[in-house]
Formats: sequence, C-alpha cells, structure tokens
Amino acid sequence: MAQMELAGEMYEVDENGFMQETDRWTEDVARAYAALENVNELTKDHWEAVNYLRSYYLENGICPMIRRLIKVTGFNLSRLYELFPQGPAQSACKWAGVPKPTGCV
Amino acid sequence: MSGIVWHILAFGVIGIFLAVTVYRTVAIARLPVHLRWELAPIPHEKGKGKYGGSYLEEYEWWTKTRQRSRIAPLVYMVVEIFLLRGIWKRNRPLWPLTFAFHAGIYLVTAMLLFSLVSSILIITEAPPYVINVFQEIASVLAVAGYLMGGLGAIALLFKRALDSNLRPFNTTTKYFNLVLLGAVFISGAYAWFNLGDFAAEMSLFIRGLITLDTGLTIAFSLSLHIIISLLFLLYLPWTDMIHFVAKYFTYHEVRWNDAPQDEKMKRELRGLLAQPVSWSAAHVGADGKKNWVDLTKKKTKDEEA
Amino acid sequence: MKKLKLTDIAKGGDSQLIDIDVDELVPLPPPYDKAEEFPGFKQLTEDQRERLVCNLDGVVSYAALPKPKNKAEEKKYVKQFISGLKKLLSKENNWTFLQPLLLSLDYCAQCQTCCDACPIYLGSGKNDLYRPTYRPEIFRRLVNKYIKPGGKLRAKLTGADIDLNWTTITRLYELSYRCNLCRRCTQACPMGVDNGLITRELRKLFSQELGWAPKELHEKGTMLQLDVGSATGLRPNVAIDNLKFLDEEFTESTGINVSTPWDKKGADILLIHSAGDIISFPESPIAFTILCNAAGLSWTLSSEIPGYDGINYGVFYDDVQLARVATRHAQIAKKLGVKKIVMGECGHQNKALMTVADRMLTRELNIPRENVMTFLENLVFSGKVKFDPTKNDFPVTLHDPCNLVRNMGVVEPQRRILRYLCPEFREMTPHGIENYCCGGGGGLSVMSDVNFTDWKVNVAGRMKFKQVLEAFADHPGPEIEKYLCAPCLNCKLQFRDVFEYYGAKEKSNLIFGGMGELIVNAMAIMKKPFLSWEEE
Ligand code: SF4
Ligand code: SF4
Repeated sequence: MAQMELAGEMYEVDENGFMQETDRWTEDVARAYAALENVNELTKDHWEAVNYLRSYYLENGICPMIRRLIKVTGFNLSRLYELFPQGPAQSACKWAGVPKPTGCV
Repeated sequence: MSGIVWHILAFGVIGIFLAVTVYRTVAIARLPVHLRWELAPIPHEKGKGKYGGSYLEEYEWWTKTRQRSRIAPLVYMVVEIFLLRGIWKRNRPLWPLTFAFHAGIYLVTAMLLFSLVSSILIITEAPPYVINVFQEIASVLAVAGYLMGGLGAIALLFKRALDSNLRPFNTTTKYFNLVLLGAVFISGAYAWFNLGDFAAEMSLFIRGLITLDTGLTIAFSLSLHIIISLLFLLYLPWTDMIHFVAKYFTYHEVRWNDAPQDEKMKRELRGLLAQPVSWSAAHVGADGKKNWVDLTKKKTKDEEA
Repeated sequence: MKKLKLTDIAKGGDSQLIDIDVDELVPLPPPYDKAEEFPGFKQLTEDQRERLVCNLDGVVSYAALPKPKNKAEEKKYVKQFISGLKKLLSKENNWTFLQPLLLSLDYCAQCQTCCDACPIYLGSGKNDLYRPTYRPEIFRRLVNKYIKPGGKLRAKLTGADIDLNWTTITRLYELSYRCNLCRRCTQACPMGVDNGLITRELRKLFSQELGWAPKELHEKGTMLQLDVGSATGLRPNVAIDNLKFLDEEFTESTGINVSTPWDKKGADILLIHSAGDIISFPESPIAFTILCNAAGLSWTLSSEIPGYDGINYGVFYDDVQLARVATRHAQIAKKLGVKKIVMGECGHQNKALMTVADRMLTRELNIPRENVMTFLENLVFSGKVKFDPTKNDFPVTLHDPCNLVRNMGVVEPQRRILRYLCPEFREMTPHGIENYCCGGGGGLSVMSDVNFTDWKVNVAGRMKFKQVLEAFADHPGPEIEKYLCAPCLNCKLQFRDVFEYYGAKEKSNLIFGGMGELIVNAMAIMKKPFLSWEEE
C-alpha cells in the first residue's frame, strides 16, 4: 500500500492518492490535497461541497450522484470544476478523504 | 522389396492413421458440454446468418420455433475448406501460397480415389477404355496436385523463414511438418515425371494391395514416394495437422453452438455441476468436496465466517 | 519498434519488457493528430517502481499484485501456477470451457491471420506484445512443456522452450489484461482458434487458483456486489432513494410524471439496470422508466441484493463468480414471479445472463430472458408510443457493443430503431458483427488502478475513437452537435474516459449516450429535448 504525507502526517493512500483510512481525515488533509492541485485556499463553497460529500459517504457508504451534489450545493458542473480542478470525482472526493469511487461509475 | 512388406507397411500405416484419428476425434467429441460461447456469424440462423444475426433478435424468442437452415452451414464449410475463405478475406497475401498447398492435398486425395476406382475396375475387368478414362483423370490430378502442393510447401517454407510476422512463432515442428509434406509432393512429382504412366502404375500398386498380391513390385521412384507418403500418414494424426477434424468442432461445437438446454443436455449438466471443485483461491471456497452447485449457492459472506 | 521473441517473456527479471512510444501508435485524424497536445502516459514514480510489479509495458493495472520477498516465495507462486494449469485442463474444475480451450490450444497454425483483426494490436501501431497470438502461444507452450508428458524434452528439441518463472507469471498476469475479450481475432481465425478465450482462461487461472484479479473486477467488483448488492457500493435503500430523487428531478424537468416501480410481485418484466447507470448515467434508467410507463408495460425493478445491479464481471475473469451472480439474478426473478428478465443497456450483462450462464441456470431458474435491443425495438414499434423523428435531426452513429453484437448476434433491432428515429443515422466502418471494440471490453473499462486509464485511452480505445471520428468526417468541427449511440454501460465508461482525454466535446461537439435516451428524445409528448449537449 502506498503512503503519502499530508499536513505533516503519513496516510495510507491508493495509487491515485485517495485516502484509505477515511476516519483519519481532518480539514488539514483537505487543505493539503487542495494545495497539491494548486488550490491554496479553501473557500466556503469548497467546504460546502467537501462536507456534503463526506457526510453523504459516511451515511451511505458511497459518494452521492453528481446530480445530487449539484442539487444540494446549488453549484453547476462548471462551477464544480472551477472549485475542484479535476472535477467532483477525482478532486472533491479525494479532498473529502473518501475512497475513489469504483465499480462502473 | 517383396509384396508382403508393402502390405504390412501400407495397411499398418493406414490402420494406425485411422485408429489415432478416430481416437482423437472421439476424445474431442466426448468432452463435456461447455458454457455457451457462440460467435457471429452463425450460418444456420435462417434469414439472419448473412448479417450475423441470431434467434435472440426475435421478440420473446422462447415462444417461437427456431428456424434453422441445414444447407447454409454446409455451404459455409465447403467454401471454407476448399477455397479457404477465412484466409482470402483476412490474409490475402498468404492465400495463394496456402491455397496451392491445400489444393495440392485435395487433388492428391482425389487422385488416390480415382486410382482406387481404376484399380477396382482392373480387378473387375472393366473395359479398358473406362479404366483409361479414370487413369487419365488421375494422372492430371496427380501432376496438378504434386506441383501445386510442392510449390505451396516450398513457398510456405520461405514465407515462414523470412516473414518477420511469422518468424517469432516458428518451431522446428512447424518446419518439419512443411518439409515432410513437401517431400511427399516432390517425390510424387518426381515419380510422375520419371514414370511413363504414373496413374497406371499407381492403380496397379493399389490393385496389388487390395488383392493381397505377394508378387507386387513397383518402380523405385514410386516406391520412394509411397514410403515418404506412408511416413507422413503415420505422423499426421499425432500432430496439429489434423485440424481438418478439429475444425468441425471449433465451428459446430463452439462458434455455432447456440443451443438452449434440452433434456439430454440437462441430464449432462446435472452431472457436471455435481462434480467436486478444487480451485485454491480463498474466495472460491472449494475444499475438494463441495461441488459447483454448493459453491454457487453459498453466500461469499458465510464463507468468510 | 522493438521486435519481441516469445522467450523474452521469461527474461530480464523485474525490468520492463517494452516501452510504449505514443508516436508509434496509429495516428488519429486532426485535430487529434498531435500527440504532444495530450497528457500521454503517466510515468511511474521511483517509489511505485520500487513497490509495484511493473515489468511489462510501464503500465500497471493491479497495484496489489504481490511482490515476493525471496526465491522460495517466487517458487511457491510458480508451483501454484502449474497446479492452476492442471485444473484448467481438468473436467471437474473446468468443464465450463474445457472443449473450447483444448481446441484452441491444440490447433493454432500460427498463420497470424488474426493479428490484423485486433483493435489493440492495430491501435498500438502493431506492437508485438499486443498480438492476439503472443499471449496464447506462450500459454500453449507452457502447457505443452509443463503439463504434457515428455514436455520438457520436447520443448528443448523443438525450440519452443519458455521458462516458467516469476517474471513469466507476473508478465502473463498483466498481459492478460491487455485484451478486450472482444473476439474479433476469433472471428478472423480460419481454424476457429479462440485467442480471446485463452486470455480469459488465463485470467481464470490467476483468479481461481492464485486469487489475483483486478481490484475493480473482484474485490470491489463481484465480491462487493454479492455482499452489499452492487459493485458501486450502492446499497438497496440508497438505490431506491437515488431513483426516487431522479424520478422527482425528471418529473420536474420533463413535465411528465416519472415514477419507477420497485419490487412489484407478479409484474411481467423484471428490468435489471447496472447500478453504474443509475449513478453515472441516470438518463438511461430514467429513459426506460418513461418508455415502459408510456407503453403501459407491467414491469418492476428489484431492490434485493444484487437485483438492482445487473453487471456480472465473472464473465471477464472467474467462472465461479459468474455462476454466483447469475444465479442470484435468476433467483430474484423467480421470487418476484416475473415472466421474463430484461437486462438494461449493457453488453456483457446481457451476454452473461442470456447465453454464457444459460447452462448454469438449471430447472426453474432458467427464466426467459430478453436482450435489451429487441425489447426496445418491440416497444418503439408497438404503436403505443408516438414519435416525432424530426426531433432527432442531428448526426448519429452507432457503436456495436461486442458482447451484444459479435457474441450474441443481436445486430438489426437497434438499427431498425435508429433508421426510424434518427434521420441522420450513419454507420461506422466496419460495423455490425465486425465492429471494433470500444477499448473497454473485457472489464477494462472499469479498471483504473495506477496508470491503466492512460493505456485504455491511448492504445485500447484508439481504433474505435478513430472510426467514430471518421463516421462524422462530414462535420468534423464543433459547429454541429453529434451523438454517438453506445448502448452499453461499459462502452459508455470507456468513451467517457476517451472523450475527456481528447476533448471530443469541445473539439467536435460530440457526445455519447445510450439508445433509450435517443428514443425518449424523439417522443412526441416531450416538450423539451431530453438530450443535451450543454453541461448542466
Ligand atoms: S489463432 Fe488462428 S488466425 Fe491466429 S495464428 Fe492461430 S490459426 Fe492463425
Ligand atoms: S479478443 Fe479482441 S482485444 Fe483480445 S486479442 Fe482478440 S481481437 Fe485483440
């Protein structure tokens, strides 16, 4: 298993850098991920999306459908790409510390 | 060589050839029914085979009787066997070489049939002009077959040795097969040109064989050819060159086998599913006793528990 | 390009067998012809090279492949491989494919005719490693050498000698996931030898004996599906909840009452979508809901595990998992008492349940199953739904999912629909049963470990992308909206990656989607287009 240093701590990640120990996530982890994608400040909008993703995942064991994310946050897809350079699945989920969505999604 | 040796050699080799070929054919045929793995186009699908459609295209297909053509698969196979449709369509540069080679085999086989008939005609003392007709035809078949086959074999040998596409896959066996079959053709051609009347000699030889004539003698060039041919025939059924048998199964039993379960198959399947499984990976959960049905029933979760 | 020998597979230890050079791949038409404009292959990091087995082509599809610590461990794996070979050749353990396997092992003439049929080999610019014959011939020689009596001696004598060692095994493992199992090569083989099948048997050996299989197909695939209900991790209650949400969303956006029925006992039809469609391409399941309701059908979805996820990855790598998933699907249908099962728009799903698993579903489990294209065709031409084909007045081309078309012979129903509903429908070349695979076949479309996606979009999907572009050569630019109809979830996933990588939406205004969406788009009662080229 790969290791990665985020905000001064070592974490287990998959080969695409997604956290494997979801419960060890902290807000600093999100900031550290964002910094790696050259987003140096997390705005209220970022947090809204990240927190929603995270809480939905913890409750349902899966990331929400993009449509739901759009509906709940009120951000359209291009806004989401503005916020998260690699898009909701590749960036936002990663920053939220949930595993990479797999299985025909 | 005395006649008796020829008898032992010829009948022995033919016997072994037949026995091994039949054995291998039966061995393939008796393999268990497998899961469906059909592949379009399936020519027996009436009206659909042309574009590769199947009965699964029909709305509620299980309520309809299947429309199967008997002729179309036959035509398909004949074109494939004699004209090598697949190579023509997909590998045109190879086609002339392999076609010559295979045509050689078919022509020589036909020549043997004609010679056999003419030797029977000799035995039954048919009018000479009838015998003559058969021998004339056999003679033409022989020279055409030997030349085409010989050229084909040589061309294929060169192709194998020189073509960078084929070379990495060559083995000594593949070369040996071509050389041996090439030798059959070339020795045949040699005998044909060497003898005044190849076809007559050939039918006399066959007559000698089937009448068990111990006084049977043949010219050197022909005996050389016959010995090489017998060696080839002895070797053939052990090799992948009996693909002429296998091809029946790859087409009819795999590609074109789209049969839903019937009573006989159901019985066989019950037996197959009742066999114990011994795959080692943990998720399979096999222990050498549980059979396919047990393993399928079981929830993966329980296995871990 | 480096010429490869068969024996090279066993040589060189942990070093890479070949390098992929993007410039050697088959060229794409403009504006996609400049390789330097695209990201190319992600090179493995030093750390990854240290940790992972990466001795094939610089691409890694399975990070969890074990790396032995010493020679003894290597030997253990080699022994396991040999015992797996034996089981593959035994009736008890492999009756399922024994006859086709033996025929394919014993009768290859090495004519190489099949090579030019393989989209991966062609797309790669004819890289020896990806020949349809390379992997099977190695496998064949290993069987001949290590399993058949006198094999070792014969191998020495005939020059067919390949060493079975750790390097061979791991390279073969990785190489068995460089094939789409599309069987275009099989179709081209005059002998009827099935190189796609041999690849699948090799995957089976690794999975069923050594427990090696891509995470996305196995651990997060069939295992997760059998456990929680779906390979996506979607649980029954979340599945229902998601569709409720979608019903509402689409009721609002279309003005039609969209309502999806669940678990209706005694319905005529059990419809099984892929859970991936629900999550990633929700227009597809919603289109089915709209159509089935408009036609007044008696139908239902099931929320029983795994009755709302029709995928069956077993068909790609493992017969036991194949049987398990198929049996569950059939059991659910039996419990509901439906007259037939219809699978959603997904090729392998239709093939798995309709044909491949047919002889595993015994007695009352063998419930009638209909393929999705015939189902839709019947619906479209039933007269119960009114259409206005002028609504689909944009260029449309059709992708033939290999599993549905080449492997099941379902060719014309989808074409009859398109000819009726899409005035600007055009075929690709080649098409129908001679189509090229999307590049995601054989389970590859869901695999994305390490840098595998780069290989899929650059090599495996290349021939397909090329022919899609060529089908629209009359309108190459972004001025005209174009639609690629790909009635298969796996194909759509592959196209998603490819289109994103090359920027097909921006450069060519090209989108892809299923068949159901196109049909709904042409429905007369729709006030607004169902399809959209704009991002939401
Ligand atoms: S698989 Fe068939 S086409 Fe390919 S090399 Fe072997 S015999 Fe020739
Ligand atoms: S099955 Fe398809 S991808 Fe695999 S070798 Fe054959 S043609 Fe190529």
